[in-house]
Amino acid sequence: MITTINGARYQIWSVVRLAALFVAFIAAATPVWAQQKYTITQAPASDRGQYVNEHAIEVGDVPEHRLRVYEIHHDYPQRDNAFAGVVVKEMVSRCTSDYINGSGANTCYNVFTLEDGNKVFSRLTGTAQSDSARGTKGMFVENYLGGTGKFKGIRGQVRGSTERAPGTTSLKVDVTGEYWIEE
Amino acid sequence: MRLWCAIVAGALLTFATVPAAWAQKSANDKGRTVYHFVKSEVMQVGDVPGHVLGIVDASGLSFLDSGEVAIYSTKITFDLRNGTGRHEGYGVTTFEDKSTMVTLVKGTTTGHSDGTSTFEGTYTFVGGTGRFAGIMGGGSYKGKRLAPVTSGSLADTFSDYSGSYTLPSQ
Repeated sequence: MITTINGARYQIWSVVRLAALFVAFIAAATPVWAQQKYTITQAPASDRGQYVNEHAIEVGDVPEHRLRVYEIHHDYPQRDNAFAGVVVKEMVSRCTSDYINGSGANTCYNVFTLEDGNKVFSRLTGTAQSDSARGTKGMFVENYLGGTGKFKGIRGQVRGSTERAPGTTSLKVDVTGEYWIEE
Repeated sequence: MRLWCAIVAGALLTFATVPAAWAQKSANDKGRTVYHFVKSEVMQVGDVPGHVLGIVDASGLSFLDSGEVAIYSTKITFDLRNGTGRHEGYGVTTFEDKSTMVTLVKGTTTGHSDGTSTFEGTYTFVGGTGRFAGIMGGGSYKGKRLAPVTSGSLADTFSDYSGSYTLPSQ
């Protein structure tokens, strides 16, 4: 009889302990679950990139093999680029590239300046392929590294592709990805 | 009988020629490059203070342990925070007979408070001409830039390298 009571108590305590563990787990996990994830499915249509600085050096092994360091300024006159609802005023890319005949690898650091004065930082790695008609295709992965103010904890990734048809200046960009802001 | 003779002769011919095709000439690659910056461009990234991207065009000489002296040029891009970070680029060694070796170099740079830097990394042969056509192999390097990179500065630099390569038989 006593054994049964002790056994019942043990079972009750086991259930209580399990419940406490579950509550503790839920309490610990909730902030992660509560983080809002922002999905990116479309590149800003009004992105106007402009080279403002470019230095290229011929490697000298084969023709058209160049290392470059360059800077591109982007603005968004239609205010169609934003982070967590805050519109991006401008974005500056500082990059290095290693291209032969316009094809090769590039790495960029992007600094987004938002309308509230905050900044978002990302690092992008990509490749470019140039065809004989001087059209170009590219692929890239961009990782958000942090920012200032409420964007200090921004993290996430965007994957994309670019295509510029020969003889045109417009760039078709497809992107997909998501970001969130860690507390 | 004639058929067997032909088969044996064919086999002998095959075994006599295949090892010659497989044979490679291997050699050590060791020496010191001494060079200075011809051009350098540095760009602030704008995320954290002291984070820069840049590009360097440098030229000088390579003194090989074999006794040869060759013209050496290197083109490097770098990604540094307060002088420390990664570098990557190419080295082209041009010998008196116009033969060339081309290496891809990747390494790290450590900046020092006096404006100098030390660096090390690995190199891989990615091309060659003349007597180095078909070169394969690589090695490692370690060096020092003896002067700060400032406008007008030559930023004299040396690098000791050691590796090996193989060449296809002629």
